[in-house]
Amino acid sequence: MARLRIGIVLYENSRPELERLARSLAASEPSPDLELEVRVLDNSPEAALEPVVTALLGQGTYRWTGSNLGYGAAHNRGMREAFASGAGAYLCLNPDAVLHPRCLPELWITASRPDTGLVDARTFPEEHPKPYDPETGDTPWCTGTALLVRPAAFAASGGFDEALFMYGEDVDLSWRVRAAGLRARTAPGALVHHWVEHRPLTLERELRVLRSAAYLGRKWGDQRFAVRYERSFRARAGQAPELHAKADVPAAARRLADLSHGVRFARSRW
Amino acid sequence: MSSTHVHLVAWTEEPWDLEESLFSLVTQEEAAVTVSVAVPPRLEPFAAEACARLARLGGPMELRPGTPPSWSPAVDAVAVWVAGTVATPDHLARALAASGPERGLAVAPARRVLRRAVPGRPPYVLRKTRRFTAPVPSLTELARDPAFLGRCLVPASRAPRWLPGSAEEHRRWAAEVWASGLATRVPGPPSIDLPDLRAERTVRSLDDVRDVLAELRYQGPRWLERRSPLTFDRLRSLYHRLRGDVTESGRG
Repeated sequence: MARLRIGIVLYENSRPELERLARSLAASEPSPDLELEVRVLDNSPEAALEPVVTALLGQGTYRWTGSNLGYGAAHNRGMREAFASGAGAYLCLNPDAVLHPRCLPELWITASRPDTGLVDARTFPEEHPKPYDPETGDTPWCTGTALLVRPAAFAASGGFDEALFMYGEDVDLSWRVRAAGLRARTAPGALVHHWVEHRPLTLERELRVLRSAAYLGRKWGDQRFAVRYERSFRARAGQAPELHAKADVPAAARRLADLSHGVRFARSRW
Repeated sequence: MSSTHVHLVAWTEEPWDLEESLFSLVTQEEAAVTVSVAVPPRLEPFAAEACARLARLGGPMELRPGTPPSWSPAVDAVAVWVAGTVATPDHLARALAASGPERGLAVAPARRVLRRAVPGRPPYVLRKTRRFTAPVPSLTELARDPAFLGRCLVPASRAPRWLPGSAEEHRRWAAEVWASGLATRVPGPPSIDLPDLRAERTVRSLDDVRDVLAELRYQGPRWLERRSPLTFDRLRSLYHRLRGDVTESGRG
Protein backbone atom coordinates (compact mmCIF):
# COMPACT_ATOMS: atom_id res chain seq x y z
CA MET A 1 0.00 0.00 0.00
CA ALA A 2 1.32 3.45 -0.94
CA ARG A 3 1.22 6.41 1.40
CA LEU A 4 0.04 9.84 0.22
CA ARG A 5 1.04 12.72 2.43
CA ILE A 6 -1.20 15.74 2.09
CA GLY A 7 0.74 18.93 2.81
CA ILE A 8 -1.15 22.13 3.64
CA VAL A 9 0.65 25.45 4.08
CA LEU A 10 -1.19 28.05 6.15
CA TYR A 11 -0.88 31.76 6.60
CA GLU A 12 -3.41 33.27 9.01
CA ASN A 13 -6.32 31.29 7.57
CA SER A 14 -9.80 31.53 9.02
CA ARG A 15 -11.42 28.77 11.04
CA PRO A 16 -14.43 28.39 8.67
CA GLU A 17 -12.03 27.93 5.76
CA LEU A 18 -10.14 25.20 7.60
CA GLU A 19 -13.38 23.55 8.70
CA ARG A 20 -14.52 23.37 5.08
CA LEU A 21 -11.22 21.82 4.04
CA ALA A 22 -11.25 19.34 6.93
CA ARG A 23 -14.81 18.33 6.09
CA SER A 24 -13.82 17.62 2.50
CA LEU A 25 -10.81 15.58 3.62
CA ALA A 26 -13.08 13.55 5.90
CA ALA A 27 -15.52 13.03 3.01
CA SER A 28 -12.81 11.74 0.66
CA GLU A 29 -13.48 8.28 -0.70
CA PRO A 30 -10.86 5.73 0.28
CA SER A 31 -8.62 4.16 -2.31
CA PRO A 32 -7.86 0.47 -1.65
CA ASP A 33 -4.14 0.89 -2.29
CA LEU A 34 -3.63 4.31 -0.74
CA GLU A 35 -3.08 5.38 2.84
CA LEU A 36 -3.57 9.07 3.65
CA GLU A 37 -1.82 11.29 6.16
CA VAL A 38 -2.06 15.05 6.65
CA ARG A 39 0.62 17.51 7.71
CA VAL A 40 0.06 21.22 8.14
CA LEU A 41 2.89 23.75 8.02
CA ASP A 42 1.91 27.13 9.37
CA ASN A 43 3.78 30.17 8.03
CA SER A 44 1.78 32.59 10.22
CA PRO A 45 3.62 35.03 12.55
CA GLU A 46 2.31 33.07 15.57
CA ALA A 47 1.24 29.51 16.21
CA ALA A 48 -2.33 30.61 16.92
CA LEU A 49 -3.87 28.05 14.58
CA GLU A 50 -2.44 25.04 16.40
CA PRO A 51 -5.55 24.29 18.51
CA VAL A 52 -7.83 24.74 15.49
CA VAL A 53 -5.80 22.42 13.27
CA THR A 54 -5.37 19.84 16.01
CA ALA A 55 -9.11 19.82 16.70
CA LEU A 56 -9.97 19.48 13.02
CA LEU A 57 -7.22 17.23 11.68
CA GLY A 58 -5.83 15.45 14.73
CA GLN A 59 -2.81 15.42 17.04
CA GLY A 60 0.59 15.68 15.40
CA THR A 61 -0.63 17.20 12.15
CA TYR A 62 0.38 20.79 12.96
CA ARG A 63 3.79 22.43 12.79
CA TRP A 64 4.61 26.14 13.01
CA THR A 65 7.47 27.13 10.68
CA GLY A 66 8.43 30.23 12.72
CA SER A 67 8.43 32.61 9.75
CA ASN A 68 6.74 33.12 6.43
CA LEU A 69 8.77 30.80 4.22
CA GLY A 70 6.44 31.20 1.25
CA TYR A 71 4.42 28.50 -0.50
CA GLY A 72 7.27 26.76 -2.31
CA ALA A 73 9.83 26.67 0.50
CA ALA A 74 7.29 25.36 3.01
CA HIS A 75 6.16 22.60 0.66
CA ASN A 76 9.79 21.74 -0.10
CA ARG A 77 10.30 21.16 3.62
CA GLY A 78 7.15 19.02 3.68
CA MET A 79 8.22 17.00 0.63
CA ARG A 80 11.73 16.35 1.95
CA GLU A 81 10.27 14.92 5.15
CA ALA A 82 7.53 12.97 3.38
CA PHE A 83 9.81 11.30 0.84
CA ALA A 84 12.50 10.62 3.44
CA SER A 85 9.85 8.68 5.38
CA GLY A 86 8.92 6.63 2.33
CA ALA A 87 5.77 8.40 1.11
CA GLY A 88 4.71 7.37 -2.38
CA ALA A 89 3.42 10.85 -3.20
CA TYR A 90 2.97 14.30 -1.70
CA LEU A 91 -0.06 16.47 -2.35
CA CYS A 92 0.42 20.23 -2.16
CA LEU A 93 -3.05 21.36 -1.15
CA ASN A 94 -4.26 24.94 -0.78
CA PRO A 95 -6.05 25.61 2.50
CA ASP A 96 -8.87 27.47 0.71
CA ALA A 97 -9.69 24.44 -1.43
CA VAL A 98 -12.48 21.89 -1.07
CA LEU A 99 -11.77 18.42 -2.44
CA HIS A 100 -14.47 16.58 -4.30
CA PRO A 101 -14.90 13.20 -2.53
CA ARG A 102 -13.44 11.40 -5.58
CA CYS A 103 -10.53 13.81 -6.03
CA LEU A 104 -7.82 11.88 -4.19
CA PRO A 105 -8.53 8.44 -5.78
CA GLU A 106 -8.68 10.06 -9.22
CA LEU A 107 -5.36 11.86 -8.65
CA TRP A 108 -3.79 8.61 -7.55
CA ILE A 109 -5.07 6.68 -10.60
CA THR A 110 -3.38 9.23 -12.89
CA ALA A 111 -0.26 9.37 -10.72
CA SER A 112 0.10 5.60 -11.07
CA ARG A 113 0.61 5.82 -14.83
CA PRO A 114 4.23 5.27 -15.92
CA ASP A 115 6.53 8.28 -16.13
CA THR A 116 4.18 10.54 -14.22
CA GLY A 117 5.99 13.20 -12.20
CA LEU A 118 3.22 15.65 -11.38
CA VAL A 119 -0.57 15.52 -11.43
CA ASP A 120 -2.95 18.39 -10.89
CA ALA A 121 -6.65 18.34 -10.13
CA ARG A 122 -9.12 20.28 -12.26
CA THR A 123 -10.07 23.50 -10.49
CA PHE A 124 -13.78 24.02 -10.05
CA PRO A 125 -16.08 25.80 -10.81
CA GLU A 126 -13.63 27.81 -12.93
CA GLU A 127 -11.39 25.28 -14.61
CA HIS A 128 -7.96 26.59 -15.58
CA PRO A 129 -8.07 27.25 -19.33
CA LYS A 130 -4.70 25.62 -20.06
CA PRO A 131 -5.15 22.56 -22.27
CA TYR A 132 -4.65 18.91 -21.41
CA ASP A 133 -4.89 15.76 -23.47
CA PRO A 134 -8.26 14.23 -22.51
CA GLU A 135 -6.92 10.71 -23.11
CA THR A 136 -3.46 10.81 -21.50
CA GLY A 137 -3.88 13.84 -19.23
CA ASP A 138 -0.62 15.35 -20.52
CA THR A 139 -0.55 19.09 -19.86
CA PRO A 140 2.07 21.83 -20.35
CA TRP A 141 2.13 22.60 -16.63
CA CYS A 142 0.32 21.70 -13.43
CA THR A 143 -1.46 24.17 -11.18
CA GLY A 144 -0.53 24.27 -7.51
CA THR A 145 -4.02 24.24 -5.95
CA ALA A 146 -4.01 20.46 -5.55
CA LEU A 147 -0.73 19.26 -6.98
CA LEU A 148 0.46 15.70 -6.51
CA VAL A 149 4.24 15.20 -6.66
CA ARG A 150 5.83 11.78 -7.10
CA PRO A 151 9.20 11.05 -5.42
CA ALA A 152 10.96 10.84 -8.80
CA ALA A 153 9.80 14.36 -9.68
CA PHE A 154 11.11 15.71 -6.38
CA ALA A 155 14.41 13.88 -6.78
CA ALA A 156 14.86 15.17 -10.31
CA SER A 157 13.90 18.78 -9.59
CA GLY A 158 14.70 19.42 -5.93
CA GLY A 159 11.19 20.79 -5.54
CA PHE A 160 9.98 24.34 -5.95
CA ASP A 161 12.35 27.19 -6.76
CA GLU A 162 12.40 29.03 -3.43
CA ALA A 163 13.27 32.34 -5.07
CA LEU A 164 9.65 32.42 -6.23
CA PHE A 165 7.80 33.51 -3.11
CA MET A 166 4.34 33.17 -4.59
CA TYR A 167 2.92 32.64 -8.10
CA GLY A 168 4.67 30.88 -10.95
CA GLU A 169 6.46 28.28 -8.83
CA ASP A 170 4.11 25.56 -10.11
CA VAL A 171 4.85 26.53 -13.72
CA ASP A 172 8.59 26.49 -13.12
CA LEU A 173 8.46 23.13 -11.31
CA SER A 174 6.38 21.60 -14.12
CA TRP A 175 8.83 22.69 -16.79
CA ARG A 176 11.80 21.35 -14.83
CA VAL A 177 10.08 18.04 -14.13
CA ARG A 178 9.22 17.68 -17.81
CA ALA A 179 12.78 18.60 -18.74
CA ALA A 180 13.88 15.66 -16.57
CA GLY A 181 11.84 13.33 -18.77
CA LEU A 182 8.76 12.94 -16.55
CA ARG A 183 5.17 13.82 -17.41
CA ALA A 184 3.00 16.59 -16.04
CA ARG A 185 -0.60 15.43 -16.14
CA THR A 186 -4.08 16.59 -15.31
CA ALA A 187 -6.48 14.10 -13.72
CA PRO A 188 -9.74 15.07 -15.45
CA GLY A 189 -11.88 13.27 -12.89
CA ALA A 190 -10.20 14.96 -9.91
CA LEU A 191 -12.13 18.10 -9.02
CA VAL A 192 -10.97 20.62 -6.48
CA HIS A 193 -13.22 23.49 -5.58
CA HIS A 194 -11.12 26.66 -5.52
CA TRP A 195 -12.89 29.87 -6.22
CA VAL A 196 -10.66 32.92 -6.35
CA GLU A 197 -12.10 34.90 -9.25
CA HIS A 198 -14.12 37.11 -6.90
CA ARG A 199 -11.11 38.20 -4.88
CA PRO A 200 -9.94 41.76 -5.52
CA LEU A 201 -6.62 42.05 -7.32
CA THR A 202 -4.61 43.98 -4.74
CA LEU A 203 -1.47 45.85 -5.69
CA GLU A 204 0.60 43.48 -3.55
CA ARG A 205 -0.75 40.43 -5.35
CA GLU A 206 -0.37 42.03 -8.75
CA LEU A 207 3.27 42.93 -8.03
CA ARG A 208 3.98 39.35 -6.96
CA VAL A 209 2.57 38.05 -10.24
CA LEU A 210 4.61 40.57 -12.27
CA ARG A 211 7.78 39.84 -10.34
CA SER A 212 7.35 36.09 -10.78
CA ALA A 213 6.75 36.56 -14.51
CA ALA A 214 9.91 38.67 -14.89
CA TYR A 215 11.86 36.10 -12.88
CA LEU A 216 10.64 33.22 -15.05
CA GLY A 217 11.56 35.17 -18.18
CA ARG A 218 15.13 35.66 -16.91
CA LYS A 219 15.48 32.12 -15.66
CA TRP A 220 14.16 30.47 -18.80
CA GLY A 221 16.14 32.69 -21.14
CA ASP A 222 13.46 34.93 -22.66
CA GLN A 223 14.79 38.44 -22.10
CA ARG A 224 11.97 40.15 -24.00
CA PHE A 225 9.39 38.50 -21.79
CA ALA A 226 11.35 39.43 -18.66
CA VAL A 227 11.78 43.07 -19.70
CA ARG A 228 8.07 43.36 -20.54
CA TYR A 229 7.07 42.34 -17.02
CA GLU A 230 9.88 44.26 -15.33
CA ARG A 231 8.61 47.42 -17.02
CA SER A 232 5.10 46.65 -15.92
CA PHE A 233 6.33 46.06 -12.36
CA ARG A 234 8.24 49.36 -12.39
CA ALA A 235 5.19 51.22 -13.65
CA ARG A 236 3.08 49.84 -10.80
CA ALA A 237 5.65 49.89 -7.97
CA GLY A 238 7.79 52.87 -8.96
CA GLN A 239 10.94 50.75 -8.76
CA ALA A 240 12.46 47.73 -10.48
CA PRO A 241 11.81 44.28 -9.01
CA GLU A 242 14.62 42.61 -7.12
CA LEU A 243 15.47 39.58 -9.19
CA HIS A 244 18.25 37.13 -8.57
CA ALA A 245 17.41 34.88 -11.46
CA LYS A 246 20.14 33.31 -13.49
CA ALA A 247 19.49 31.96 -16.95
CA ASP A 248 20.70 28.59 -15.71
CA VAL A 249 18.28 26.33 -17.52
CA PRO A 250 19.98 24.21 -20.19
CA ALA A 251 19.14 25.32 -23.72
CA ALA A 252 17.56 21.95 -24.53
CA ALA A 253 15.09 22.38 -21.67
CA ARG A 254 14.11 25.92 -22.63
CA ARG A 255 11.95 24.70 -25.48
CA LEU A 256 9.49 23.45 -22.86
CA ALA A 257 8.94 26.94 -21.48
CA ASP A 258 5.97 28.57 -23.17
CA LEU A 259 6.31 32.30 -22.66
CA SER A 260 4.27 33.26 -25.70
CA HIS A 261 0.92 33.43 -23.86
CA GLY A 262 1.69 35.97 -21.15
CA VAL A 263 1.25 34.79 -17.59
CA ARG A 264 -1.02 31.94 -18.65
CA PHE A 265 2.07 30.02 -19.81
CA ALA A 266 0.09 27.93 -22.28
CA ARG A 267 -2.49 28.25 -25.01
CA SER A 268 -5.82 29.18 -23.50
CA ARG A 269 -8.95 27.24 -24.37
CA TRP A 270 -11.04 30.30 -23.54
CA MET B 1 -31.02 33.03 4.83
CA SER B 2 -33.27 32.79 1.74
CA SER B 3 -34.08 29.32 0.49
CA THR B 4 -34.13 28.05 -3.06
CA HIS B 5 -35.35 24.86 -4.63
CA VAL B 6 -33.33 23.68 -7.61
CA HIS B 7 -34.75 20.98 -9.84
CA LEU B 8 -31.88 19.28 -11.66
CA VAL B 9 -32.81 17.43 -14.84
CA ALA B 10 -30.46 15.16 -16.78
CA TRP B 11 -31.22 14.95 -20.48
CA THR B 12 -28.39 12.54 -21.21
CA GLU B 13 -26.75 9.58 -19.49
CA GLU B 14 -23.47 11.46 -18.95
CA PRO B 15 -22.76 10.93 -15.23
CA TRP B 16 -20.16 13.69 -15.07
CA ASP B 17 -22.71 16.34 -15.99
CA LEU B 18 -24.77 15.33 -13.00
CA GLU B 19 -21.73 15.11 -10.71
CA GLU B 20 -20.47 18.59 -11.62
CA SER B 21 -23.88 20.24 -11.29
CA LEU B 22 -24.37 18.64 -7.88
CA PHE B 23 -20.87 19.68 -6.75
CA SER B 24 -21.67 23.21 -7.85
CA LEU B 25 -24.95 23.23 -5.91
CA VAL B 26 -23.34 21.79 -2.78
CA THR B 27 -20.74 24.57 -2.79
CA GLN B 28 -23.24 27.45 -3.07
CA GLU B 29 -22.67 30.05 -0.37
CA GLU B 30 -25.15 32.19 1.56
CA ALA B 31 -28.11 30.22 0.27
CA ALA B 32 -30.13 27.35 1.74
CA VAL B 33 -30.86 24.97 -1.11
CA THR B 34 -32.98 21.90 -1.62
CA VAL B 35 -32.28 19.93 -4.78
CA SER B 36 -34.50 17.41 -6.54
CA VAL B 37 -32.86 15.28 -9.21
CA ALA B 38 -34.64 13.77 -12.22
CA VAL B 39 -32.53 11.47 -14.38
CA PRO B 40 -33.02 8.75 -17.01
CA PRO B 41 -33.63 5.32 -15.36
CA ARG B 42 -30.11 4.04 -16.15
CA LEU B 43 -28.61 6.98 -14.26
CA GLU B 44 -30.75 6.58 -11.13
CA PRO B 45 -28.31 4.42 -9.09
CA PHE B 46 -25.49 6.81 -9.97
CA ALA B 47 -27.62 9.83 -8.99
CA ALA B 48 -28.38 8.28 -5.59
CA GLU B 49 -24.67 7.56 -5.02
CA ALA B 50 -23.62 11.05 -6.11
CA CYS B 51 -26.17 12.68 -3.81
CA ALA B 52 -24.97 10.60 -0.85
CA ARG B 53 -21.32 11.27 -1.70
CA LEU B 54 -21.71 15.03 -1.99
CA ALA B 55 -24.03 15.40 0.98
CA ARG B 56 -21.00 14.46 3.11
CA LEU B 57 -19.49 17.86 2.29
CA GLY B 58 -22.18 19.39 4.50
CA GLY B 59 -23.58 22.87 4.21
CA PRO B 60 -27.20 24.05 4.12
CA MET B 61 -28.13 21.60 1.38
CA GLU B 62 -30.61 18.81 0.97
CA LEU B 63 -30.19 16.49 -2.01
CA ARG B 64 -33.10 14.31 -3.06
CA PRO B 65 -32.91 11.91 -5.99
CA GLY B 66 -36.30 11.70 -7.74
CA THR B 67 -38.84 14.20 -8.95
CA PRO B 68 -41.16 15.62 -6.30
CA PRO B 69 -44.61 16.72 -7.49
CA SER B 70 -43.65 20.26 -6.57
CA TRP B 71 -41.47 22.18 -4.10
CA SER B 72 -42.03 23.07 -0.48
CA PRO B 73 -44.21 26.18 0.05
CA ALA B 74 -41.49 27.52 2.37
CA VAL B 75 -38.98 28.22 -0.40
CA ASP B 76 -38.40 31.75 -1.66
CA ALA B 77 -37.33 30.94 -5.20
CA VAL B 78 -37.14 28.13 -7.74
CA ALA B 79 -34.58 27.28 -10.43
CA VAL B 80 -34.42 24.50 -13.00
CA TRP B 81 -31.02 23.29 -14.13
CA VAL B 82 -30.05 20.92 -16.91
CA ALA B 83 -27.22 18.59 -15.79
CA GLY B 84 -23.89 20.04 -16.94
CA THR B 85 -24.80 23.50 -15.66
CA VAL B 86 -22.19 24.87 -13.26
CA ALA B 87 -22.36 28.10 -11.26
CA THR B 88 -20.02 30.20 -9.17
CA PRO B 89 -20.59 29.81 -5.39
CA ASP B 90 -22.25 33.23 -5.17
CA HIS B 91 -24.65 32.58 -8.05
CA LEU B 92 -27.81 31.83 -6.08
CA ALA B 93 -27.12 34.53 -3.50
CA ARG B 94 -26.59 37.14 -6.25
CA ALA B 95 -29.68 36.00 -8.12
CA LEU B 96 -31.77 36.01 -4.93
CA ALA B 97 -30.65 39.56 -4.20
CA ALA B 98 -31.73 40.64 -7.69
CA SER B 99 -35.06 38.82 -7.65
CA GLY B 100 -38.02 38.94 -5.29
CA PRO B 101 -41.74 39.68 -5.30
CA GLU B 102 -41.16 43.31 -6.33
CA ARG B 103 -38.36 42.86 -8.84
CA GLY B 104 -39.47 39.52 -10.17
CA LEU B 105 -37.52 36.96 -12.11
CA ALA B 106 -33.72 37.28 -12.15
CA VAL B 107 -31.61 36.24 -15.14
CA ALA B 108 -27.91 35.69 -14.47
CA PRO B 109 -25.21 36.62 -16.98
CA ALA B 110 -23.92 33.38 -18.46
CA ARG B 111 -21.35 31.65 -20.60
CA ARG B 112 -21.89 28.87 -23.07
CA VAL B 113 -19.63 25.87 -22.64
CA LEU B 114 -18.82 23.76 -25.66
CA ARG B 115 -17.62 20.30 -24.65
CA ARG B 116 -16.45 17.13 -26.32
CA ALA B 117 -17.54 13.79 -24.90
CA VAL B 118 -14.68 11.54 -23.75
CA PRO B 119 -15.66 7.91 -23.05
CA GLY B 120 -15.27 7.04 -19.38
CA ARG B 121 -13.98 10.48 -18.49
CA PRO B 122 -15.46 13.93 -17.93
CA PRO B 123 -16.30 15.88 -21.09
CA TYR B 124 -13.39 17.99 -22.31
CA VAL B 125 -14.17 21.70 -22.38
CA LEU B 126 -13.26 23.15 -25.76
CA ARG B 127 -14.29 26.73 -25.08
CA LYS B 128 -16.40 29.02 -22.98
CA THR B 129 -17.97 32.09 -24.50
CA ARG B 130 -19.79 35.00 -22.94
CA ARG B 131 -23.39 35.63 -23.81
CA PHE B 132 -24.96 39.03 -24.24
CA THR B 133 -27.70 39.67 -21.68
CA ALA B 134 -30.12 42.57 -22.12
CA PRO B 135 -31.07 44.61 -19.01
CA VAL B 136 -34.60 43.22 -19.43
CA PRO B 137 -33.97 39.80 -21.00
CA SER B 138 -36.65 38.41 -23.27
CA LEU B 139 -37.54 34.75 -23.48
CA THR B 140 -36.63 34.72 -27.17
CA GLU B 141 -33.14 36.00 -26.37
CA LEU B 142 -32.61 33.35 -23.70
CA ALA B 143 -34.30 30.34 -25.27
CA ARG B 144 -31.67 30.02 -28.00
CA ASP B 145 -29.89 27.87 -25.39
CA PRO B 146 -31.84 24.70 -24.56
CA ALA B 147 -30.44 24.80 -20.99
CA PHE B 148 -31.41 28.46 -20.52
CA LEU B 149 -33.61 27.93 -17.44
CA GLY B 150 -30.46 27.44 -15.35
CA ARG B 151 -29.87 31.18 -15.67
CA CYS B 152 -33.26 32.04 -14.23
CA LEU B 153 -34.22 32.31 -10.59
CA VAL B 154 -37.97 32.58 -10.26
CA PRO B 155 -39.67 33.90 -7.09
CA ALA B 156 -41.82 31.08 -5.74
CA SER B 157 -44.90 33.29 -6.05
CA ARG B 158 -44.38 33.50 -9.83
CA ALA B 159 -43.23 29.96 -10.56
CA PRO B 160 -45.68 27.47 -12.10
CA ARG B 161 -46.54 24.77 -9.55
CA TRP B 162 -45.17 21.96 -11.69
CA LEU B 163 -41.61 20.97 -12.56
CA PRO B 164 -40.51 20.65 -16.18
CA GLY B 165 -38.60 17.70 -17.61
CA SER B 166 -38.14 17.76 -21.37
CA ALA B 167 -36.79 20.70 -23.38
CA GLU B 168 -40.28 21.40 -24.63
CA GLU B 169 -41.58 21.51 -21.05
CA HIS B 170 -38.77 23.89 -20.13
CA ARG B 171 -39.96 26.35 -22.80
CA ARG B 172 -43.59 25.98 -21.71
CA TRP B 173 -42.67 26.50 -18.04
CA ALA B 174 -40.64 29.58 -18.97
CA ALA B 175 -43.48 30.97 -21.10
CA GLU B 176 -45.75 30.80 -18.04
CA VAL B 177 -43.14 32.64 -15.97
CA TRP B 178 -42.62 35.38 -18.56
CA ALA B 179 -46.37 35.79 -18.94
CA SER B 180 -46.55 36.82 -15.28
CA GLY B 181 -44.12 39.75 -15.55
CA LEU B 182 -40.75 41.00 -16.74
CA ALA B 183 -37.29 39.68 -16.02
CA THR B 184 -34.26 41.53 -14.63
CA ARG B 185 -30.59 40.92 -15.41
CA VAL B 186 -28.43 40.09 -12.36
CA PRO B 187 -25.65 42.70 -12.23
CA GLY B 188 -21.99 41.68 -12.40
CA PRO B 189 -19.91 39.15 -14.30
CA PRO B 190 -21.23 35.77 -15.52
CA SER B 191 -22.13 33.51 -12.63
CA ILE B 192 -23.30 30.46 -14.53
CA ASP B 193 -21.99 28.20 -17.29
CA LEU B 194 -24.54 26.45 -19.49
CA PRO B 195 -23.70 23.37 -21.54
CA ASP B 196 -23.95 24.38 -25.17
CA LEU B 197 -26.67 22.01 -26.38
CA ARG B 198 -27.66 23.97 -29.47
CA ALA B 199 -28.11 21.96 -32.65
CA GLU B 200 -27.32 25.04 -34.78
CA ARG B 201 -24.35 27.27 -33.89
CA THR B 202 -24.13 29.67 -36.82
CA VAL B 203 -24.83 33.38 -36.38
CA ARG B 204 -28.42 33.85 -37.47
CA SER B 205 -29.89 36.71 -35.48
CA LEU B 206 -29.02 40.06 -33.95
CA ASP B 207 -28.84 38.31 -30.57
CA ASP B 208 -26.15 36.00 -31.98
CA VAL B 209 -24.17 39.05 -33.16
CA ARG B 210 -24.49 40.57 -29.68
CA ASP B 211 -23.09 37.34 -28.20
CA VAL B 212 -20.08 37.56 -30.49
CA LEU B 213 -19.51 41.20 -29.52
CA ALA B 214 -19.84 40.39 -25.80
CA GLU B 215 -17.13 37.76 -26.17
CA LEU B 216 -14.86 40.11 -28.13
CA ARG B 217 -15.33 42.82 -25.53
CA TYR B 218 -14.12 40.39 -22.88
CA GLN B 219 -11.28 38.76 -24.84
CA GLY B 220 -9.88 41.97 -26.38
CA PRO B 221 -8.38 43.42 -23.19
CA ARG B 222 -7.03 40.02 -22.21
CA TRP B 223 -5.31 39.66 -25.57
CA LEU B 224 -3.72 43.09 -25.06
CA GLU B 225 -2.68 42.17 -21.51
CA ARG B 226 -0.80 39.13 -22.82
CA ARG B 227 0.76 41.01 -25.73
CA SER B 228 1.74 44.18 -23.86
CA PRO B 229 1.09 44.26 -20.12
CA LEU B 230 2.44 47.80 -19.79
CA THR B 231 0.13 49.26 -22.48
CA PHE B 232 -2.75 47.33 -20.96
CA ASP B 233 -1.93 48.71 -17.54
CA ARG B 234 -1.78 52.31 -18.81
CA LEU B 235 -5.06 52.01 -20.71
CA ARG B 236 -6.71 50.40 -17.70
CA SER B 237 -5.52 53.24 -15.42
CA LEU B 238 -6.77 55.82 -17.91
CA TYR B 239 -10.13 54.06 -18.16
CA HIS B 240 -10.59 54.01 -14.41
CA ARG B 241 -9.43 57.62 -14.01
CA LEU B 242 -12.02 58.69 -16.60
CA ARG B 243 -14.68 56.73 -14.71
CA GLY B 244 -13.54 58.29 -11.43
CA ASP B 245 -12.79 54.89 -9.84
CA VAL B 246 -10.17 54.98 -7.10
CA THR B 247 -9.32 52.04 -4.90
CA GLU B 248 -7.00 51.59 -1.96
CA SER B 249 -4.37 50.00 -4.14
CA GLY B 250 -4.49 52.90 -6.56
CA ARG B 251 -5.90 50.78 -9.35
CA GLY B 252 -9.38 50.55 -10.63
